[in-house]
Amino acid sequence: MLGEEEFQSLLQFSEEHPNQPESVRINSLRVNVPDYLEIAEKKGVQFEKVQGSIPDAYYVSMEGPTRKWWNQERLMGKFYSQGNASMIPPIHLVQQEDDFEALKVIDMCAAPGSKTTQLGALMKNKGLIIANDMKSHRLYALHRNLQVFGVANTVVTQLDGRWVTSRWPNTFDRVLLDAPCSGTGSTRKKLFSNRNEQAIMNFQKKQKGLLTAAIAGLKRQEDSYIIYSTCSMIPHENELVLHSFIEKNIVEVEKLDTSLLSGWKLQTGLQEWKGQALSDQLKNTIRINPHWNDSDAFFIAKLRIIGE
Amino acid sequence: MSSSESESKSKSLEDKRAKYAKILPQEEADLIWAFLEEKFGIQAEKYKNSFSFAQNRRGRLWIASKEALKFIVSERFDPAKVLTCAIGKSDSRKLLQDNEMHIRLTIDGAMFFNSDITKNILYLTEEEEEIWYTGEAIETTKDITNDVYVLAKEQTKEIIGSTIAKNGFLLNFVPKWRRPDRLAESNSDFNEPENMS
Repeated sequence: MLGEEEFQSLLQFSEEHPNQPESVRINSLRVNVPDYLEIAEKKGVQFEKVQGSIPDAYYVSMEGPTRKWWNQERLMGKFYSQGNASMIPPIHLVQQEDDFEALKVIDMCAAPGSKTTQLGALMKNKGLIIANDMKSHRLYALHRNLQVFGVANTVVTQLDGRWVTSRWPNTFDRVLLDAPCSGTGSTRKKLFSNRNEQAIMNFQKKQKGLLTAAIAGLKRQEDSYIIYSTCSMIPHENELVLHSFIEKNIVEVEKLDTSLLSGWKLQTGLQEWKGQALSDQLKNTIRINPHWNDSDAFFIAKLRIIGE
Repeated sequence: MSSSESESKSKSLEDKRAKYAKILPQEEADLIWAFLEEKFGIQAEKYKNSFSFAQNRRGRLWIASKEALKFIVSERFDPAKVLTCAIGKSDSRKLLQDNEMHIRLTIDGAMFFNSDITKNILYLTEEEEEIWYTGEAIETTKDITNDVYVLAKEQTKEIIGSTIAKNGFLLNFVPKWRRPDRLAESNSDFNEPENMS
């Protein structure tokens, strides 16, 4: 996935930078963002815009005493702490020109709610978002985060994502599948550790099941699509999952609008893995590498269904 | 079954039922909008087309997009279980001991309407604000009638919550998990960057 030299620089970067820069999304459902930035700056918070066109996303830094005030603000839902790369999938799922009042979206693995709250803000609390997750303890955090963020267009459900759309076939205009994964690109201190081959293959099985369900739940219409993402760097959870669907002519991969990501250094998806040629459509997916962007790793793809 | 057993069984059933919420029909929703307009100056017309309410028998009130409510009806979900934006409670009738209709906005309710709230706002000084976040009631010397109010910061005019004023005290409804001094002990998985599965 990365050449030997790049891989070494990834490991070195992870060791030298064990912590990511702190990034937040200011809650436009709660505050007037420019006014709020001014208030927070007066309190001692420094903001720097996150690269690309991610609405209301900022890197923040502050001295010790401001932290208490900042935590208080967090509990009031004024902002959401979210990794910078994690903010990318939602901006590809809904677009400014969408008719939000009529839009039906499902976030199949929604907990703890970072992307769901972002979607709520992007959709201006209109339309419908099904925020689903199957694990009770994660659902609690999801519920609370949606409450604190003031999201009023969500319905929270607790279903196994693999069955969720057999209940609602052909229903959603957009599907966000931020699939459960090995998380190999998200924890720098333990990059690639604690994950064996069997665990990866189990994730892959789950990811394929979820993608099958996502396809079933998507409306068969022109402007419907799926955003598939993981925070794993391992091809088995990314390109190889998609390749099996492309091969069977079930989905096609559409190019993501990278103009939204100016300032991000992106890698295109792999078209070959260990001597196996993969679909050339995978060049339309993107990989975000931690050492290029000081972020988590992410893999993102936009999928459309072929035929009926 | 003894009569006391059967009584307690029916009471617990009643309790359970009280938690279930129903989506308010238009006439009842209109009453809520009228209250919000009259009490807090919220211009209902701005919200009416996109949002409506669900309420349980304990008086807890949720706001949701109409598309979400339509979905809940079609799926026969209990709104109390699937909605997240609880904006008010009508417990204030008991606390204020009158028979008027009252809705006390929750913190999230007050912040949902935010700068559209123009009436019944009390401004807190920085010292009062500190006390507010500890969960204590605030003794006030302001000449105000017993009623429901929204609270805002004196300096920046930001809305921070709501209260019931009663006999010179502003009753505090900040839940423990929202008090910053409790942050570390009760919010380990709250609003953190997501964990891997």
